[in-house]
Amino acid sequence: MKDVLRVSGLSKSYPSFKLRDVSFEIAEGSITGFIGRNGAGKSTTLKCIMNTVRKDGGEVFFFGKPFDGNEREIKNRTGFITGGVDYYPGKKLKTITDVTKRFYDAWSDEDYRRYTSSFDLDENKTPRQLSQGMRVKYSLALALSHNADLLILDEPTSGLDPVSREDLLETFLRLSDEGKTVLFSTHVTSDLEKCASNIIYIKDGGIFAEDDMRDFEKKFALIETTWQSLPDGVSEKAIGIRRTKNGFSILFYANEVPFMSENIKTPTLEDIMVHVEKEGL
Amino acid sequence: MKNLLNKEFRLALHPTNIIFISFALMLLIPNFPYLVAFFYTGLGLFFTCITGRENNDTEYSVSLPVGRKDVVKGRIAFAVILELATLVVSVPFAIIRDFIIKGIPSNQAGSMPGLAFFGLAFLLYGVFNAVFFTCYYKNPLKVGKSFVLASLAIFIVVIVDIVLSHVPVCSEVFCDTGNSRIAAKLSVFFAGIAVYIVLTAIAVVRSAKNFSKLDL
Repeated sequence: MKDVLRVSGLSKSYPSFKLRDVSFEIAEGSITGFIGRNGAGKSTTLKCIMNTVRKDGGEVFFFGKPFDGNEREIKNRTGFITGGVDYYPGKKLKTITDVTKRFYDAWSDEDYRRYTSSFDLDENKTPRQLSQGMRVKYSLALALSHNADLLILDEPTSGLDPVSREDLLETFLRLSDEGKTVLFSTHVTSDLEKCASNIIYIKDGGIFAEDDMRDFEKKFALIETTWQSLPDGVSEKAIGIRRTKNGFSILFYANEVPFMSENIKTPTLEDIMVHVEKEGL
Repeated sequence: MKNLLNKEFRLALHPTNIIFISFALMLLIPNFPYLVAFFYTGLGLFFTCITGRENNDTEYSVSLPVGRKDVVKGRIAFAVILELATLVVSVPFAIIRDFIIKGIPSNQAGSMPGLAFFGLAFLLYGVFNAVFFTCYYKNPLKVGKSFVLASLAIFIVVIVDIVLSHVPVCSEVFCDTGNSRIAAKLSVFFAGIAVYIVLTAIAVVRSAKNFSKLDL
């Protein structure tokens, strides 16, 4: 399967934060979750990719072509959505659409009508009158109507109620079935459990992991114990140890568990993230 | 460019931009520094930029399949259209003042609306474009600072106009709307247009350069 997005050695420095040598690839038709805690560099990475923030170094290739020199074509084939439409909140959707669609070579009014209908969007409303979930759907409708092959979404589920969140994740699955590629950032790991096939995990401005989601989880082992104190040799091997109500929650690499126990299980992404972020690696 | 102008007029345009075109009527006020009438075009552009900031216009514009330089060109082309529209609308009022309302005495507060005056109006717009947009595209969030600097630059042009109207040799060019010293008047008019074109072109190049470095 060919790559629709390739990021290589991306870097960006701010006085209090650095994005360091970020590299990853996104395969066509995949749904990839871009995870990391708040401030890890998710939005900065996505903004550098889409050139709204200027990168200090590195290369970004869309559909095998560098962004510089192919910006118009790449933007025609890519939908970049930052948490739902937040521009011109007082203008009617139909006005925004009519202005926006003229910029796109492959705009389809038929597709637009289909998506606005399936998303229950009222074109006579303004963005201000839409809920956060509907704003995201309007952004999606715009991106899909210009036949975007790649959708890059920055925290699209942020602020959504559970039903809207589920609804949006189902939409991603449907789009993947249609051959669209989705890359979305989130710090809500349950979003990824429901629809992502791959994850890219960013930590302190650097890529911590890039993997198939299930393979990534299987690299770790979690043990929930009722011990009141830790036996010798456990803390040396553990990635992270957290005190719980009944004892300890301990995360190991799957091939480095120092003892046998029937309580060993494959951790969820949230288990891994909490241990890694809280106790560090 | 057509699509960007469509975006400027249908989404970005602040209503005062249209209202301020009618301020060309100020050319009928007796004893007035008439160049001030053109200051309001700049004020309207400031309102467009400040509401653009509240409406995330910059973020929206760069998300479209156009380059950042195109975004800058679109906004400055929009400004040029408004400026030329104001000048065109002001011409009938200059004619009305000159030929029909004979009772209005010669201006004591600056040049009279004639050929040389319109040359100065072009100069004023050119100065506004060069200062305002160059500064604005360094940081669109600080649009107020850009407008203060551009206003100061504009008022220097207005002061120069007032001074010229009181210098004996110059006043023959700037305060007389008849055919005398027509060569000098035409020279000022065309020089004003030339300076306007050069300063606006400089505004496009420098603004695009500043905008290309900006993190949004």
